[in-house]
Amino acid sequence: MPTILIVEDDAATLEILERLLAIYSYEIITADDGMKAIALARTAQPDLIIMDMGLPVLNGWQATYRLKAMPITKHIPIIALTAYALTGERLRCIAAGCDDYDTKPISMERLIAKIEFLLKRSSNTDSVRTSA
Amino acid sequence: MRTITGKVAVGVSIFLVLLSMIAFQAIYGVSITATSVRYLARTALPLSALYERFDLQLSRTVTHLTETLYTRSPATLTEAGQHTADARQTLAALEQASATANDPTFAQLTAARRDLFIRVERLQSQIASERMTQGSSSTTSTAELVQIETALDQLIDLRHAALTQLIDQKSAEAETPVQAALLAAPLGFLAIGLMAIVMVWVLHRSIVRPVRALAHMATAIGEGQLDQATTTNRNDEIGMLQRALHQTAANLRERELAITTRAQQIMEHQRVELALIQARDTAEAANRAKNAILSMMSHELRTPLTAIIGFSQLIEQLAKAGDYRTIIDDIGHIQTAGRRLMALINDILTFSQIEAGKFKLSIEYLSIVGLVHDVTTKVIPLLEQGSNTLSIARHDQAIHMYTDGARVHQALLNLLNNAAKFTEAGTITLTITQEQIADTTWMNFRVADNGIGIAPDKMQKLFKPFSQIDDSDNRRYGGTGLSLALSQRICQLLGGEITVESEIGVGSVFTMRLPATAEQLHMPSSSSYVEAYRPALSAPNGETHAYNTHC
Repeated sequence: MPTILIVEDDAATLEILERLLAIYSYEIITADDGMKAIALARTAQPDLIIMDMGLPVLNGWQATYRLKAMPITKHIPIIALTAYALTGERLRCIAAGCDDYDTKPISMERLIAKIEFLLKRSSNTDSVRTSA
Repeated sequence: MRTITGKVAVGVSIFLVLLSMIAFQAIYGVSITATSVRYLARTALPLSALYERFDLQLSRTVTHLTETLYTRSPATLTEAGQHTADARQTLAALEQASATANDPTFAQLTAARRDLFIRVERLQSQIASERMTQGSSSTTSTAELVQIETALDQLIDLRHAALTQLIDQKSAEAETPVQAALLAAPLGFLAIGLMAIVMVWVLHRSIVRPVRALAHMATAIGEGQLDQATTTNRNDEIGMLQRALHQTAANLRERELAITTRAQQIMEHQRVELALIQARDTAEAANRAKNAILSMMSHELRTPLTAIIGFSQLIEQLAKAGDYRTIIDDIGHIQTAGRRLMALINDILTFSQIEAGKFKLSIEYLSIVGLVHDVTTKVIPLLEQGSNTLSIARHDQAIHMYTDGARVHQALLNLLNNAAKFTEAGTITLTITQEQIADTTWMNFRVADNGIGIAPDKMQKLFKPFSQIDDSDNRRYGGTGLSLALSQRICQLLGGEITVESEIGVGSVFTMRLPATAEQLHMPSSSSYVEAYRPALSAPNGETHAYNTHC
């Protein structure tokens, strides 16, 4: 069962994501700031991270940048999930190292599709890496 | 002769004339002297020698004749004849020479000697004849001899006198020009010296002094004192130079004027350029602000919408599965998010009204008790979320106001929401007091919390709209930063203000102070921040009031 790390500081949004994703049978771990997210990603090695960008302590862009810089976490796909939905935000997130980007309010079908795509891609990469 | 060249030419000419006069004087004197000396050497002295020889020969003849008279010896007579022959020869040379000299003195001297010589020859013949005749010496011959001797002596004296006179005369002739030269030379040199002094003075006056003055003028021009240049009517080179300098100064003045004009033009261009750059920067800043505002609006609207849509989806999923255990809480979440959205939309609407200059106050009776009830009802969910308690204290006199109730409600709710947002498991105290200052009755709403407090450097930005934008990268608390700024604006429009005291870690106290009776104010001109955002918000691209249409 794939493990997803949800990084979100808004309690209501976190609860929605946690409960909705649980319905799709993912294993969920959570963090409410960027620092905690990095610590948890290193220790728990989730299969995917859903990252809010406007986070306290260490914001989403910085956290993503650091995660992608560390060998132990750089393979984990990250989906930026932000309420900053204007043009330019997507580029800013991709530039920070995010693999994909989605906006709030959450469209569950769209988010699930992105999650599944990234999980499949990383498992392919893993198998290539294993066979190599 | 008005040019310097002319003056110098005159000076030099006078010098040359004076010098040539002195030279002529010297040469003339030397020539006179030379003539006299030549005369003495070529004429006087040879003649003198001839006279001397003749006189000697004649005196010898006379001596021998005297001897003959006494001895009657034929030998002495022969000897006297030989001397006479010699004297005749000398006399011939003398006559020729004196004829050549063409001088009356010498002619006279020579004539006297010829006469004497003739007398000597006659005497000699007489003596010879007397001896032939064997007569005794005649007394006549003796007497004649004595006479001749005496005449010869006289002639010798005459010759001496004449020659002495001649030599004196010629010497004087030779000396005169030398003396004249000796006298004239110092005078000439004195004249030349005086002339030199005069010339130096003239040159000093006509060249050195004006050149110095011109040098001063040139220096002054060099230092930029262009009005120092004067012109002149002088016709010489100095005048030309001065006029040239004057013209140069005039040209410089013209050029300076042109440069000044050009510099002013450049400065004007720079000023315009600067104004354009500032306008561009202002427009760009306004554009950035617009983008930031839109981004923030988008974010703030989407956050409660996320909760509303998310919980709706969740309820849908749960309902499909027949699970209704959490449905009440979930609907509560939807309501909280809905209210948050509502408050936000109200803020944005009010803000846009103020910004558009369409904000109006609706002044009417307001019950304080009713106001407190309405506001607390709305803030309770947020208070519970942060596990905070609310304590309310109202002054007995604080019963009612005449003001815009909806606006006071909005501002007070913002203060309470704010306090709740930044406080966790604490106490929020709302104290309402009334006080009388002069003719005005004031109503004070004091909202105190024991939350995180506000850093002093953030206090200033507190009432500026969108102040949280700056911290968006490290945000912990939601909100546009609009509500406090908006509340402050509302209070100001109602004739009051909001003040704040705070200490980090201890808590914050916001005091909203309003007149109990508000006056219907004319909409004041837009404040600076509205002004700054206006160009961006009223951009003619259809996005002007994008958030209004969303609401």
